[in-house]
Amino acid sequence: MPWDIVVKNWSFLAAGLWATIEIFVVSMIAGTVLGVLMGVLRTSRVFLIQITTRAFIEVFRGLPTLITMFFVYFAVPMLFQIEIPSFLAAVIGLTLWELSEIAEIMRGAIQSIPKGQVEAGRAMALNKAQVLIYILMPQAVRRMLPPLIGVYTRLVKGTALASLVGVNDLVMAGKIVVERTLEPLEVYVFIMAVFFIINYPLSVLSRKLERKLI
Amino acid sequence: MGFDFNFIMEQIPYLMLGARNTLIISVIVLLLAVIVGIVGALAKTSGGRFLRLITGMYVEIARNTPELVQIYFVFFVFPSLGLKFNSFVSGVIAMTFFGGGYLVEVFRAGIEAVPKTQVEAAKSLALKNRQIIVNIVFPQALKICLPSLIGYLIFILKMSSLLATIGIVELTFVANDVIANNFHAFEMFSAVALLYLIMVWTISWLLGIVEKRFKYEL
Repeated sequence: MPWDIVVKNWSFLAAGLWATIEIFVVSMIAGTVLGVLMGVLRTSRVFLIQITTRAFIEVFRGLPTLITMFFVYFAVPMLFQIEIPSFLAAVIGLTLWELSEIAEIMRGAIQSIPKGQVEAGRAMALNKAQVLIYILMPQAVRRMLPPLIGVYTRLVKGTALASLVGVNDLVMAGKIVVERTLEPLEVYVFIMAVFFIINYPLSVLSRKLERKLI
Repeated sequence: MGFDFNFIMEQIPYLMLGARNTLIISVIVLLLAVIVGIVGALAKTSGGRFLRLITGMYVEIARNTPELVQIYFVFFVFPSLGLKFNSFVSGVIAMTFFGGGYLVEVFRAGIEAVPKTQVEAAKSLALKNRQIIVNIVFPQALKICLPSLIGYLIFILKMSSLLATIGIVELTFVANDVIANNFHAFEMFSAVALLYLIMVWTISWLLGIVEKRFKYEL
């Protein structure tokens, strides 16, 4: 196999990989922050908050991420007469999916902690925010960790969708190199290897933590 | 810009065709992935060392690389290796590859969840290995796996949207195809999103029923 195709186009592919990493990091941070927030809101006792957060989560977990991304990229600009750059559309699409997944994990983690602890905290004159920060969160985070990393591995794979709204990510770069060289095998093996190298350690870590924490 | 209902009404037959194809492809892929999953799980639980290694490698590759790239791999790389399939077959192969990767783990967990005493009891009744697997372990494992299988139908259905990229006429393709000519992106993607949600929510409602029923039986 003429592996020099990857070497010769290295700077081009590396630029793509960099875009992929950028998309991953930005959506990971945005999705985690918003997801944790949404998860806390989801456990609210106020009916209106409960129902809106639940609807939001059900919609964006139910939709294929590609459809969400296309909606942001094609439909929203038409509706509001604005332009949304590819990169932003990809990040928003991935973040909407990811934050919903994380919110659901967060809700599960909070609700798995015995009610008695909240009551005990309240009995010790802690206010609601203190109960959340000092009692619920530290335990919830431990329980959340394995599925959270699972979501991150899916996010890494999801970044490939960015190429479909025109981001020059690794997948797009690979496609262009293939069109130029007509050597798909090397390029696609390379792309798969890159994603595997990022994802495999994450999924091993997730499984290890799962065994440890249960 | 208002919401053009009439436009969507005109597109309903095409949308329904897309939704139907999405469902058909998803079910075909699920069935094939179940076969891959069962074979892989048997290899992983009762195969030799080499077989276990190969299956393990398959599972890790299937689960840790992007689904989209796997679809491209089958569609663009296979022909250069002399394996030419049309886009439908390519799509089904790729989706079965990653779907199967997940189901191997599902069935392995299911098989391992069957109590060991069942196997011992079967052995003491002088059943052959094949009989133990087919008649004792398998029916119980399948029952344990059923909720996960329905869950993975949702996963597969959502992932089938990627097949639009290789030209398979399913729901996402229909949306792209229509807006390429008519620019009604907002109406089209709203309609398509709604159809996906109806399908996904129906399946997860079904999942809820199955889970509730089996909780008492197990």
